[in-house]
Amino acid sequence: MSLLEVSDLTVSFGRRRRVAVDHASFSLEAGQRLGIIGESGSGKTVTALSVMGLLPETAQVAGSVRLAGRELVGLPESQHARLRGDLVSMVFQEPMTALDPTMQVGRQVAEVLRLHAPERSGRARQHVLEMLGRVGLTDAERVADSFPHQLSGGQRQRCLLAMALINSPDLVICDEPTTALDVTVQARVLALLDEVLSAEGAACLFISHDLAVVSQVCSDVLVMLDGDIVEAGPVAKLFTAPEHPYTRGLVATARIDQVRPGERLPTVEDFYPRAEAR
Amino acid sequence: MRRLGLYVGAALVTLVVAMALVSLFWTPYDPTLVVAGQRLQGPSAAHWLGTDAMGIDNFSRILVGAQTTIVVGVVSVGIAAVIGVPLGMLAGQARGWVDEVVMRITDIAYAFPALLLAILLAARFGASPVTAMTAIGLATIPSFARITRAGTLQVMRTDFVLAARASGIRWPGISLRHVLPNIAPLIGVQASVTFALAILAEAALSFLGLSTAAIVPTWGKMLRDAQTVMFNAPLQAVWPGLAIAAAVLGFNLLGDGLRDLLDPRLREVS
Repeated sequence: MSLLEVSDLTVSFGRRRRVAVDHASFSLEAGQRLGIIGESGSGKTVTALSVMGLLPETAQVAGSVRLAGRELVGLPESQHARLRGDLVSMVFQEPMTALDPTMQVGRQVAEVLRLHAPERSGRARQHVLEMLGRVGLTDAERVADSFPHQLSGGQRQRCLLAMALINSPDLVICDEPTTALDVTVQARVLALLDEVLSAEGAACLFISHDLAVVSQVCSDVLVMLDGDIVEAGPVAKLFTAPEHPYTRGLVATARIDQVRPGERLPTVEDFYPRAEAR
Repeated sequence: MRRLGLYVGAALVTLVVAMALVSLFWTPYDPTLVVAGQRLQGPSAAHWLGTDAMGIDNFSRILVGAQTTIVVGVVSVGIAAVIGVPLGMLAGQARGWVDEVVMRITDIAYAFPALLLAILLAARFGASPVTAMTAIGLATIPSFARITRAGTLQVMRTDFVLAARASGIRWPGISLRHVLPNIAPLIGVQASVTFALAILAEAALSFLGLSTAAIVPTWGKMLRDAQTVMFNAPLQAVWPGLAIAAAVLGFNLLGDGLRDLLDPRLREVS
């Protein structure tokens, strides 16, 4: 049995039922890392949020999402909340805004620990410091007592990672976790993510629009386009033999090092012309 | 210079609080002592602000009046905040029909004349500071509920609330530990402005005889006493008028100053 099984997931919004995700199906084994690639509006974040149960109330969800054998579509909010932060957790895109500015980050991490593991909360601070150390924050004591505005973007993203990992979840969903960071910090955070996911043995659903980033962390990848999964497979195969014209375009644009000087850089439109301007 | 208002406001508020505190232990004269021989005297070394129509020292009455002002402000704001803030947070977090019901009731309450409410309460329970405070408190609940709801909606849309929900934190935890601390500055500013409003309202109610019935001196009641001797001793109305103006100005400036100080958008400019 797979850890996460999504079948025929369809999410639409509002009275006019604008479809954001259209009959998507995929599965994720325990410890596996799956990337979801797509442009803005392709439905990748909506897919992630439907696993988390955090879609806005206007969303209509059909199909099935099974996590560790439990059906999540139609699960009451109170039961779904119990899974979040424990069995499945999420790292958000913007480390600047995903931490509460009025609370020390150590307390924010401890809050998640207390919620799901009350028996460990007696030594909560020690666990929090240990976790902050494991995500590469060398001066964990100082960071734990800092407010978010006193930390750098990379430090904050590490704190969010600590928050997501403190209860050893089976699945971590990362929604473009490095997009807001600069390139050098991005490389370090990705290496760290790779390391802690291996150490925890957690599966990962990694959402990004950057093929290069996904290939660093994930073994398999899904390509989403306008709510459809247009291609799926191992990262290596996607690079060597992309099938869908849109994927071919993505791969070509990711390999600008192979473009000879003087030549025009490829765009996705060269491979997959799209009728209407979005 | 940008913070001048804040400092002036804080100074005036401190002055009023100090007057109230001092009057608990000491006043130049007994603020209820009638001395028939010294009616309506002007300012002098013995009576800094003169005496009133019954020969009572005006300065002593002003000092003691500050007590009523502070108590009325604190209690009215307390009533309004304790009921209005949870209502606003409920409406802002629950959304849907709960939001609609709470906010429409708030709209109706907002439209109800506050003075009429005070007269109704005074007619039913008798004129006293307690009815005045209750009336002012009840009448200012809607403004607290509205501003709290607006702030809550804003906070609920932030990434950190989404992140907290993604960690499995349920609404009681989100309300108390994430929403409330983030809207606290907003509520503080509202409290300060409402405090000024409450002082003014209490003075008006005293003036109309709907607050203090007994001889407890309040600034509004002093104004009312001054009205009867207006043409003989106009200064009688000036002292309580000045005291009310100073207190109201102080709390308003403090509220504005706090808003400027706590608003991150304005802070970046400086």
